[in-house]
Amino acid sequence: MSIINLKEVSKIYGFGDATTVALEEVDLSIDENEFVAIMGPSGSGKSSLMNVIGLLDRPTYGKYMLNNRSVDRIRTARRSKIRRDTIGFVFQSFNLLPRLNVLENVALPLSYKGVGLSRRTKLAENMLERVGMIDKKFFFPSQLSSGQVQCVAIARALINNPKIIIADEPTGNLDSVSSRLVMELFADIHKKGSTVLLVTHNPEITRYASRVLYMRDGSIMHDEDSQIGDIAITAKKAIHRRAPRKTLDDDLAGISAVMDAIPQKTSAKKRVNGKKKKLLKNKKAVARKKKR
Amino acid sequence: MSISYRDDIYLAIRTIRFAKMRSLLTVLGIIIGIVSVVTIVSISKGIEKQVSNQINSAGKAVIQIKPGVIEKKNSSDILGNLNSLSNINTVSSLTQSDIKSVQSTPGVEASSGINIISGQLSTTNGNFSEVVMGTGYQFPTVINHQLEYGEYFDPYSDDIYQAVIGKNLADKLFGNKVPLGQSFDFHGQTFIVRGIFKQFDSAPLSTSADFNNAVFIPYQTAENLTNNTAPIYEILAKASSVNNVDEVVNSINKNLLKLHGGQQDFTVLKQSESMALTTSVLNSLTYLISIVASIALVVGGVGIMNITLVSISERTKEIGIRKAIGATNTQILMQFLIESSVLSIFGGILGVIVSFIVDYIIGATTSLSPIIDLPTLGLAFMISLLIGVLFGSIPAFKAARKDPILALRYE
Repeated sequence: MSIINLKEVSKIYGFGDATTVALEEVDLSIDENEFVAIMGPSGSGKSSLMNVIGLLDRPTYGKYMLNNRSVDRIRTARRSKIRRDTIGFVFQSFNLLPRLNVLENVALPLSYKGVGLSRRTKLAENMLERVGMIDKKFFFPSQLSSGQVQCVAIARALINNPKIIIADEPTGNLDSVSSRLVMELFADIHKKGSTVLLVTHNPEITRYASRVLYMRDGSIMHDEDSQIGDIAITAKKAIHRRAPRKTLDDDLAGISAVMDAIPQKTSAKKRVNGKKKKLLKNKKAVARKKKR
Repeated sequence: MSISYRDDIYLAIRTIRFAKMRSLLTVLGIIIGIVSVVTIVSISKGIEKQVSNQINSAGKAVIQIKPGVIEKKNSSDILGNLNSLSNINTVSSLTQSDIKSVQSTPGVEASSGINIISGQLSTTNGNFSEVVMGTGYQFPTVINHQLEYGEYFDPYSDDIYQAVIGKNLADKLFGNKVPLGQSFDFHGQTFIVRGIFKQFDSAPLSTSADFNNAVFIPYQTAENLTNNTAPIYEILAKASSVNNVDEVVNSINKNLLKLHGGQQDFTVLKQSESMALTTSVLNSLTYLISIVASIALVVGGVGIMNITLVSISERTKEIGIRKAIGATNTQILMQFLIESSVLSIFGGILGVIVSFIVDYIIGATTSLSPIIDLPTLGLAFMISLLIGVLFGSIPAFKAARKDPILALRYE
């Protein structure tokens, strides 16, 4: 059953010539208990897509159904509550509050829900136990390693038992050992029934995913099902091809090999410009008719 | 109180503890403002109590007849506008026949006219300019005050140049000498001190003269010394019972009106009205000074607003994180509103502590006895809270309306 359903969702920033198309008519349906890895170069719209799905941002156009309920035009307060109860966020830069200790950080979403101190302490302790951080509960984030901080951030994301976990490059700032630990946690979360959406640049991570999306210029270029435990086929091709990086831009994008492996699509900007031209033509035609 | 609000209070206290010096400097304006307001109010309350003690010591049956008109609010007994010039008329509207009329009013147990003469007193210790009052022999009975030493004037005595003095003045005029039987010269006559009053409860800003520093001579002697030109300061009367004060006041008023040809150029006051008169003057003064003091509070509030804005700017990412994990705009608004309020209340608490110290110093070095009571503490708390809420609201609204995505990207 589909838990996330996007229909022709676009996200456009700015006005006039400064318009940036972050998402272009994205159609996406994600079922419950899917583990979706999203790959793509920087600026391809991965984070924008996560922000729209995570209700941090509103789509400029299109429809978004979450749990079969339309959420693209609901009020800010309602969005916050849905976000609190349904979605858990894990960020690349961890985003724990430095003034709160580990236990308080994990318990924070519960306080916004109105859970009492003793109950939320107990729940937070249980969650820390689950991620193996219970012995560090009174530590402050600055006293922990990156891997440990990310584990705490995952515990915080899970504290409200959300149906969806959105992880934006959760291993981006971690060493390989910590990355493995964190990904095992996500695998465990997925096994327990949550839907996981994970943005990554690392093809190896697709081993944990049941589906991989490849994005470029605000569009989903390629959508493939993947076998958990194996690297996704397209990502594998990229690794095996090990194509030499052609330009500096490709180099900066970091995953040029992956993107070389997927089919090309018309540039989103070109499409928008084309649409604008059409609109202008139509307007001019209407104006001419009126004059006549 | 919502659970998250309790957390916000706890977090706000923690924020203050994290940055003690910054918090202290932020609330300096609030501290100064609260000290000013609390000190002014406590001094005012202290004076009010002193005046009340002074009036109560004389008893509730005492009636004052003053020259001039003091306006009353409608038919109620509470005094409104005070004609402040009425008490310093050089020519009093009260006359000798008014004193006699009051004396003969039914229900009046005792009465005394009081006139004031200017001039210098000369003793072996030097010359002094003090208040000299001519009073009737019933004066101590009227004001219900005993003498500590000696006795009051004998109406049947041939010696008309006798005097009774206030306790503080006795020390001033005669130093270590026993004042009884001592003499001083006044208006070319030598007066013998026959008695010394017990200490009066004096009150600063009271509308009554300070009897502790006054010389009392027989009324007729005062008249003789000035060729009947000494203005009558007031007439005091004592009703035979507290229950018939109103009746006696009406009778006196009626009789005097007749004597004055229907002209209401005098005021008959009960003790409660005298109290109201002082309170009215005090309140006006307190309000006026409080308004000036509140400027410091506004400055303090601006300081809080400034620091809250800085804090919000520094903690933009925190706002983004909180929103991402489910905080609503209202919860963010309340977090920063509570933070500014706690900071302001912290300033208020420090201000009250400093006020206690300032009041102690004032009490020890002046004749004032400032009183900090619960309502004053409540006032300080409310002012602090109000400033915190008022000046914290703009930054808090700003924080609440931050875009979560932009806030999360903020470095």
